[in-house]
Amino acid sequence: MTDFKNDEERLSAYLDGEMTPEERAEFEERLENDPALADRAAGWGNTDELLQSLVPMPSETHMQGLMAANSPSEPRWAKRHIAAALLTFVIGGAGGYGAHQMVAPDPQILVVQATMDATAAHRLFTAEARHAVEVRAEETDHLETWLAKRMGREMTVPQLDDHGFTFVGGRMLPFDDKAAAQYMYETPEGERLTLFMARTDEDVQTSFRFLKDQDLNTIRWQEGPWVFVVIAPLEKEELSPIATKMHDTLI
Amino acid sequence: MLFPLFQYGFLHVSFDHQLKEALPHLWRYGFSLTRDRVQADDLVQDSVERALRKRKLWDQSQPLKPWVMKILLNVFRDRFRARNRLAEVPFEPEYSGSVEDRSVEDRSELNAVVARMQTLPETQLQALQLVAFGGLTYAECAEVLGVPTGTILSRVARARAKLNEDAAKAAPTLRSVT
Repeated sequence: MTDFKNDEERLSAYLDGEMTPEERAEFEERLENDPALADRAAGWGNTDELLQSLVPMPSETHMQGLMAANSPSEPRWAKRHIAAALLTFVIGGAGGYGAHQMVAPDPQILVVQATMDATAAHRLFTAEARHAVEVRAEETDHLETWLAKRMGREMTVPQLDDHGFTFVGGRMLPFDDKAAAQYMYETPEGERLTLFMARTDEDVQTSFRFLKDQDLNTIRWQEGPWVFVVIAPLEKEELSPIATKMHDTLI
Repeated sequence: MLFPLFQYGFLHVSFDHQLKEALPHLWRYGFSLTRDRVQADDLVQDSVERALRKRKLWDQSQPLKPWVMKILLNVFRDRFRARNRLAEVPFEPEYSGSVEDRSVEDRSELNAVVARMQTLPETQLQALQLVAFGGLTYAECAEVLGVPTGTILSRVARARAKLNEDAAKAAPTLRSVT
């Protein structure tokens, strides 16, 4: 038998499933006969739920990805150090430690980094109402010229009206000390989709790679040095034709 | 000769299996410490790596999760103390995606809970995070923090009492305690 000092301890143990069956039965009987205590238990349960909502639940795919990186067949140490150096640099901003100059980043790491940045940018900016984009769709011509200059490639905005998405606008973002770009689209219901484009040091062509991160589905492909990441809270089957359209516009 | 091989194989599976099962809790605990997805990823990867290297030190009669959770806490402490940063990053109510769907009343209550969380003494917050996000039992949590189980019960209860006391105060219309 646990030596409970007060009702706070009983409530906690009850909510955490830390009571013995006897303690539980006894406490539940009290809850039935004591409305104030029952009210308190309900309130504490509600707070627990709020608390849980503060910390996201990682998807199984995400966890598998983390574990895969730990498999002995991959030289993860080297990669991780580079990733850490990159992260330090990104976090440290312009005042970094110059680690960036000393280590030539593994191109694959940059692609992974691009995907993470794209997801972070998606989550950050799609939540914005007034400041979702830097340049609005009304100024598409200007946006295309400006970003083409900064990115060093054609930046034609793919039109997705056939897929139910209208263009909202775009913005420039930093990536690996170069310019990256994000285009945003939305449905009349306010569902938003983003396309992230960045330059890597690799020169490859890849097919579409699918990734699921919690509620978001992601499609990534590479075209020469460019990496493209499309993100939306859509099913893979709906996202694929959109990615194909973008791929064809931006080739 | 077959028997020891079988035994090794069995334990091997048990270690991997338990580790896999513990991953979501490890990640959520890591996130609750750093409030950052990338850093939570990093903490989990580092802890798993350390756990794999030290797997021979794991007492196989004990569950694996608290053992790895302790490793994660140590990795976190090493890293954040080394960088001379705050041990705990404050919780941001607006951060989690799932919060977006919440009603206005829930949000104000959530804000109150978050604000109160930041005033919890470190010992109470630590116990609460291990139990609520790390999914540990009180006994396992006691093992990780090196204190008696009764102390965990008392810390978790006091932490919860504080969170609820303020949630009720900040939103008095939500619940009438009669």
